[in-house]
Amino acid sequence: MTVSEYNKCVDLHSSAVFRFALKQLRNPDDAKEIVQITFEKLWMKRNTVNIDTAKSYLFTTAYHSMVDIWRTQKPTEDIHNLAPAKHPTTEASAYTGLMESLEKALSQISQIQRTVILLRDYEGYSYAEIGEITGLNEAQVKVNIFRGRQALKDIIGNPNNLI
Amino acid sequence: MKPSPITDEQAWQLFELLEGNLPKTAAAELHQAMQGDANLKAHYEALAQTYLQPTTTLFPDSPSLKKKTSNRTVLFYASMSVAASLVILWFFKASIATQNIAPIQSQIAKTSPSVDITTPSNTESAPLKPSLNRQGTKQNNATLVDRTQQKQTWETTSTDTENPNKQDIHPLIAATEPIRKVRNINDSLNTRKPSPNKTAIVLAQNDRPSPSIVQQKTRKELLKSFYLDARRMVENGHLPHVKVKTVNNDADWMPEFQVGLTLENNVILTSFNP
Repeated sequence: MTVSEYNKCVDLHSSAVFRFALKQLRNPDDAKEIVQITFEKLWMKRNTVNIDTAKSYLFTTAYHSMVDIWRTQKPTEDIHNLAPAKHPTTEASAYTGLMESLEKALSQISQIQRTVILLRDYEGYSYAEIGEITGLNEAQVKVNIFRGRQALKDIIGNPNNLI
Repeated sequence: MKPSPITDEQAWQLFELLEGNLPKTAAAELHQAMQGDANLKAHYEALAQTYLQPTTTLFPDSPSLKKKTSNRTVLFYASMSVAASLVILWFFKASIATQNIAPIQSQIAKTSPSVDITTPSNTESAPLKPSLNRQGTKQNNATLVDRTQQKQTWETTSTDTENPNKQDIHPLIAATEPIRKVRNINDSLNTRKPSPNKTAIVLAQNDRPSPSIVQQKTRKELLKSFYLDARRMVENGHLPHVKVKTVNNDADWMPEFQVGLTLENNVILTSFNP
């Protein structure tokens, strides 16, 4: 990958990686750091990563960087086996719009479910591509997407969230 | 009103429909079933709301991630190419100088097989140290008598009386004398043949630089010949050196200047003492 190709990757994918990290971490500073780390690693690996596989490499690296952050924050928690969190009904009145409710609901499902849904909806990745990024097989990806959407549906469907 | 729960199979069917994984016929059948089941349709609409719409969030620090193809790289390679060219030129020049020495050494081996042209270990042993007496008439007669005796001894005992300092001349210099084209101070000393009939009085009257030297070369000519020798050798790749050292420690001392040329193996080929 040449310097110009690397800069082209920055133009094409930096915002997508930032969105992906921001939705996961919900902290702009942490998301910026993830993007910085991700592209720094891409620059270090520019001789082995070509421009066609750069996007997959970026999201995989970003995901693993976020996993490292999650493990630091919750060292005893297995992020792949997290059960969907129960919706707190006391904060539901603060969100009136559907998008805001969905954003809030996203933060309450497990990290792996959130990751696969974000990759599926925002980036349009196939199950196989998501599996490459997250290290899951296609069936696991599909199941996690299904369970995540069911959890989101349950959270959004609660009348207390839609007030 | 909250819809009533549906079976897991129905939920999976709705999910597959929204994901676009169902065949057309199965999708048409499910849409037809939802027309008659409001509860199933409510679940379908609720599930459809979980699909995220891409946002237009942009990364604010995108320019900071980019790498610049600055001119430093070009300047670095340009400077390195210039340096490499200089090194190559220097090496080429040095190799030419080495090639110039090789035929000389082979000629020495042919003409003078007994001459040892190896490098002397002590570089302090200058090949030629012509120490001319510059005190003129201030010297007393005793000194003149001593000098006369020294010259007489030199004339009678030495088999090679042309140069009293011959033992100090490097063999390479001595061997290259016949093929040297430019004259230098060695010529004057080598041709300095003191007359056997001269007495101490005559020598005392001529207590100045030898008349033969004056006749053959003036000081300016000596300097010029040395300069020509030096320039030719520098052009052949030899490195010049300048050495200044004190000859005597008494009140009448004067420094002896040695300006010469040194090969890579520290052989002094030419020296000069004003």
